[in-house]
Amino acid sequence: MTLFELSHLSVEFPAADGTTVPAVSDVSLAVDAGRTVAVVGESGSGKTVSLLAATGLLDGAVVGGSARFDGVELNGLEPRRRRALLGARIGFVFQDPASNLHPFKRVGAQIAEAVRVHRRGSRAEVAARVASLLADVGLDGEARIARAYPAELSGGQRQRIMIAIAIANDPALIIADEPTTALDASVQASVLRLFRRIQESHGTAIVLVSHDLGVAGALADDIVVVRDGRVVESGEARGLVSAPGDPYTRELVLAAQLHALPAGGVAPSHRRRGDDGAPVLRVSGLAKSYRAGRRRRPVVDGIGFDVAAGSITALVGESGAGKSTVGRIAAGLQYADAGVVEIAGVRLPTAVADGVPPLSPQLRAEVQLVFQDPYTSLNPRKTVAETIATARAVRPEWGHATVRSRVREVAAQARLDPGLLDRRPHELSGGQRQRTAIARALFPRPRLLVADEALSALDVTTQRQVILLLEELRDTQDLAILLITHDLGVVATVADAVVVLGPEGQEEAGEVDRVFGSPRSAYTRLLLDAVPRLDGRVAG
Amino acid sequence: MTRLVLGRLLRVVITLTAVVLITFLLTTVAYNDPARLIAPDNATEETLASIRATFGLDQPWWVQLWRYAVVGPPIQGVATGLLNVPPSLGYSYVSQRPVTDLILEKLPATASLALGAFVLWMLVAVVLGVLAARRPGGPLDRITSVIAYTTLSVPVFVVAVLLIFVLYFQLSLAGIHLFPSGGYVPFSESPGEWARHLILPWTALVLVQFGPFQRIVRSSVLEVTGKDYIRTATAKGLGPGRVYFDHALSGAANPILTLGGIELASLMGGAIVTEQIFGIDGIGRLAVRAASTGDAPVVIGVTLVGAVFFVLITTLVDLVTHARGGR
Repeated sequence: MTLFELSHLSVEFPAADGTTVPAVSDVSLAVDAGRTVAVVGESGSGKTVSLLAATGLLDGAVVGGSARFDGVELNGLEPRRRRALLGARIGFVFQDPASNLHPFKRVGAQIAEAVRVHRRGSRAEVAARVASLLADVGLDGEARIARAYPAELSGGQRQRIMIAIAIANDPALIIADEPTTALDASVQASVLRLFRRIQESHGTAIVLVSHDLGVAGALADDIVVVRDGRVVESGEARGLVSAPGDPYTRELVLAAQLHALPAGGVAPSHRRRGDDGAPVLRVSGLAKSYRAGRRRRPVVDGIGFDVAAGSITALVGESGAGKSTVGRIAAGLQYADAGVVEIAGVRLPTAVADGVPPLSPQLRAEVQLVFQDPYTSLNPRKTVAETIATARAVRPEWGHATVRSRVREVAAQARLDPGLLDRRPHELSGGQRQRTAIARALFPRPRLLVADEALSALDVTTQRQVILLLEELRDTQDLAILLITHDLGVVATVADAVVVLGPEGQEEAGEVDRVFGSPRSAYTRLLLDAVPRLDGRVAG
Repeated sequence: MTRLVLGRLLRVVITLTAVVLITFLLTTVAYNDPARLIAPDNATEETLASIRATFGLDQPWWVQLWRYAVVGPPIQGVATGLLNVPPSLGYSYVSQRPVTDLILEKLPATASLALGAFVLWMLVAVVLGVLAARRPGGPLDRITSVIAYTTLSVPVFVVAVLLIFVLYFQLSLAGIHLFPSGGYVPFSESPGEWARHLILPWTALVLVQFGPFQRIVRSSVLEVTGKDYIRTATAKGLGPGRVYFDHALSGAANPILTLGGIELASLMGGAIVTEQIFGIDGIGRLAVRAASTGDAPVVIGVTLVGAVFFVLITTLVDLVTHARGGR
């Protein structure tokens, strides 16, 4: 029986000039009781807006079409009757639990409130209900959690609190908007498992909104693909992933494959040459600490690996493992406390100090960085050509003509249309911006490129193109690339070697096929188990 | 937390020391011969000289400061300086009474005026501020905005005199005696009369103060209404009252508490103009009288008490906002 149904839903926002801006033009979907439907699309496709507007959580939105829940039309429903449904029969889990929980209220009180809104009960009854909800979401046995403020909990714990709020009144439907996107990979998998357990024990229907077909495929029975405010394709999950009909769905499947581990294992390294020459980057015994109050807290210790010319070495680990610190030290932007860092045979200075180590222009030219977010890492006042030529300071011997021809050369290498050279960043798409950043990095003929989460701010389809570009640069320019990422799927696709950083330091390093095929460290295995697999549901 | 408390206490001590030092130096410069205040009008030069010698007024200022802070005035032969327990603020030159007693006498009137007005204007400002934030640009927002800026630009003495004119004078002419024109009745004597005497001065202060405050509440609440956790509150099925007056207000409370604390603190030092107009014999009037007669110990004492209230209340607010969790 259909529990929740959107038919020909449209959403418009009133603009300042009296007209309306359409956000969603035609979205239809149906969820049966106890089933899961995933709504998949890229950011801006209107998938979140549809569901928030349908349930009346978007102030000021003009909603057309119909949204029915359990036989009740939600569009135009009077506020009192809608409030009786929200939180009681429809529960919500939002993307970032850090911003969705009230920062000044204890989490136990926030759960208790969700219970009390819809049912009367004594203080003791509510407290008992909160305790059983905490147990349901796997947070039992820790009395301190209910008394904690959100800021005192980890991301995974916070999202479990959000889920406890969502299921506080045994809802028939949970709307989960990107519930795992803000979480680390290993936490992501356990939260998805929690959703499945709740569904199995309570028969709850779930609408999962996600940009990631991998996450959607892991949880959903049916998938609805949304683009530019319309449904482009919908169908049974397994069939849709294995045989996508629409070209856009195919694009999403390819993108999801990038983040998933290949079913047949990782192919042996395709490195053309490796051990024959001296490595471009050599790191051994690297240690770095930060000042924390009066003491110094170690961030990384005992890190050691090489990056050879014409190869991609990935540095992986969860957030906070110190990946970016290693990257910045390797790029000569930070001192290491101790250890050896050599770029093209030249040893970088080490010191227990902050600030940027003084390097010669020649050495600066050897290593370049690409940052995570091309929306903030490009100077908005400079044209693409000016941005690309920023590093001419480290090539003082190049004249004007050389600089100009070099700009065109690297723009071509980064597959950047020459017509874009006079544009400024706000006139570019996300992918074009990141290509500009890559061209800028290539400009001084570096031998080492450090790419720090260079994909994570990009749309899934753009990510694939940038990955292909990095692969191409490795092969044609003989670049050594240090790829810093949390995404093991990307590593499996593109990297030759991998270094795994855990909370305790470097877990292991080696060829990707060896590390992924037979991981020696339990931590690496944990990370690998957490990667969604396109061909099946989440493990466990 | 301990670190924070210790740090704040250190700041309190430094601030208060600076206040004592500065007011002491200012009064020594401004009032050059307190001996004439103490002596009878027809006193001879010898009498004046002996008074100066007794009070140490012929000593350099740092010796005088030392005596003020540590030894205390030698009148009854007991050490009664500022650093003793309980601290003594010296003796008034004019009334020949301990400054501490003078201030303690006036404190209830000032505290009644300040706390009552504070509670009233916080209530008015918070309710109107939150309601205005619910519909920014709506009728209530526009009306309160006009009222806020109008009352803000009218000085308190105009508001006070107008209130007296209308609610006391005109009503009395009509034979209705709702409010007295001024004065203060202690709460312990008659709670009803206490409130009746304070309503007009409270109203004057509320009218002058609530405007800017209402705007601050409005903008602080408006700043959090777009936050995700407000949407979570709505998604729980809470009504707009709970969403705005509980979730949004609690999220916006820190700046409101901080500014409210500062306002209350400065009122506790004496609402000079309001006390004058309504004839409330509080710390404000004491300060004005002392300053105009050159009664240096009272001036220093009143300033110091005001400063103590200020640092205590603002420190308390700091600790409260810190203890509220969040970040």
